[in-house]
Amino acid sequence: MKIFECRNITKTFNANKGLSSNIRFIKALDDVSFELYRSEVLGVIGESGSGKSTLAKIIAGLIGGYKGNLIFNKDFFSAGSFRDKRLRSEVQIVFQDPQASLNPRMKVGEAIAEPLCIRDKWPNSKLRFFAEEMLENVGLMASDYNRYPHEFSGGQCQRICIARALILNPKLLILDEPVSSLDLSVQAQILMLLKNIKTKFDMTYIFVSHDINVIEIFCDRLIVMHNGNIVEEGLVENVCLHPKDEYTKELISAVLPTG
Amino acid sequence: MPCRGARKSMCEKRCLSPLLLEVKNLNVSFIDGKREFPILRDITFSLAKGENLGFVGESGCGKSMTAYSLLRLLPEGMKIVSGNIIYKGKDITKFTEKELTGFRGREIAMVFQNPSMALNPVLTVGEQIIETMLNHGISRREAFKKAVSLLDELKIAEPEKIVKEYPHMLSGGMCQRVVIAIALACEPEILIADEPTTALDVIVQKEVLDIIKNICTKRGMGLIIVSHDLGVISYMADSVGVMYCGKLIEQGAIKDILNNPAHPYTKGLLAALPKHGKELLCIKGIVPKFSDWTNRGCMFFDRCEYHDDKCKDDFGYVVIEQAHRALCRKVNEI
Repeated sequence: MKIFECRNITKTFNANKGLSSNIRFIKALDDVSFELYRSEVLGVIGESGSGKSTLAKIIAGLIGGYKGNLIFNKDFFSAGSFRDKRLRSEVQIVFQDPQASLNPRMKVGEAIAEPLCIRDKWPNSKLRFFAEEMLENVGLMASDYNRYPHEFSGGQCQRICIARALILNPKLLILDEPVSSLDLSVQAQILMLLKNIKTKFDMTYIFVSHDINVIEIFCDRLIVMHNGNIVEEGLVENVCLHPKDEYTKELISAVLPTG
Repeated sequence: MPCRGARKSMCEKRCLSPLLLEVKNLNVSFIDGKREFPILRDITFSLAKGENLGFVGESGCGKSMTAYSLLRLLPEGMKIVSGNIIYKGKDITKFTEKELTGFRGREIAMVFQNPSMALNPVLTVGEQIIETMLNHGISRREAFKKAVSLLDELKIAEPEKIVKEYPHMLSGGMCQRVVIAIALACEPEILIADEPTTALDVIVQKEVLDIIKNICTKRGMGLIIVSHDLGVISYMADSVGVMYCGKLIEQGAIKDILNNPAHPYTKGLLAALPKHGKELLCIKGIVPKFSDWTNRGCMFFDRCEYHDDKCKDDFGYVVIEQAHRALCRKVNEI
């Protein structure tokens, strides 16, 4: 079942820096269209500057001013309605650097409960109950509610970010390089956590990464981005074993083998 | 450069063993007032001419500190407590500041992790490459010529144009090549690359790694490469040291480590490597902070599935095969 669709998304950034008078534009996304089906994991791969993070932010409703439509559950969201509240609680995002995406002065429990607090305006005791439950869901303890982000390691902070993204019970979770700043052993822990959460909450993921090894084991379908275009799309096995596009071939041949 | 030739032959006479570098029982501590935290413990390894040695481990396990201590570039508060670093028969740990100035860059040079941080934004690339050469007594004109030929060797197109540009005009991969050129400027005997490609994309990463590898082979330099990425290490290194909590827990040829890991941590690390068609396993728990490191017994104790009470006592390396050894007393049982 189709849950989400990107239709002809084009986004241009004004790349004017400083005082120079000549206006330059950078096309971050050029007519990008794809579909997303329920309960699948869609990998997005590309080098830096290929537009994969811009795409993630547009879907999460963090960037406006684009051309084209986002269609979520048959509701249209054009650029003008990108702040739409309905979209906000259905689509959530987890960022790359967990320590940078948590407020250092906020208790982690409050950080997790904040989206609920904004949407439902519940009393604190109720918020706390849900936040503690979510902490346990991501492998932390309910007693961690009163601790601050600096007391946690990178992997634990990423668990907190995942908990915060899950608390509104979204249908679609965007993971923007969720494991690239983590160590190898922690990376595996987070990937396994994400897998468990996917089955437990019946989620759909968009997994943005530059690491093809992670994409290969984690995703069902894959889109390869280059210079703001989708150059190849297909099932992970097909794309990785039989790449058709020149850029994909180059990308896959650059992967360093281990063992 | 006549002075260089003379120096080289002198060294060759003095040098009795084929080893370039020998590190023996190196202990480094972080000293905070009266408290002392061990950072590196009993690091022992050697590097022969033309050998590529890799250090792998997670962040905070001391692999970068090992690299820094070879150049005596440890950050403030860190100190070499005991042990020797023997380079061509001389002990680097006993060098004076003045001796170190002549030593760094000329004998052992380093490529840093983040190229945009390692370069000075207000100087042209050329200025930065010739800076080290000028300090080591090469004339400006000659140094400039050499900078251009170095960039050419590193497969940069139009090197004459690039030397006049500033770092912000170059891409990440180009910047890293410039950093490599700076390191190579004085023709060092050993190149240390500390996470040289972490900030780069996959395609550029492979280009940069190939360049480092080819140049090391061509010039017969010893290479020490530090990375958290097992892919990079297995691509670059002949032998590898796995680090955990400031200790070298396993050493051996890259083939032995990858195909026949002995230490439970190495096994766990390899199992946690995402690879198609393989079930992903993870090591439970997290790397302890350096302030919690103990001096006795195995640091992997809490996370290890094979541990028993005797692991809390001290024990030495177990030799598995020639040159392959691990710091685990249960190697033969698991």
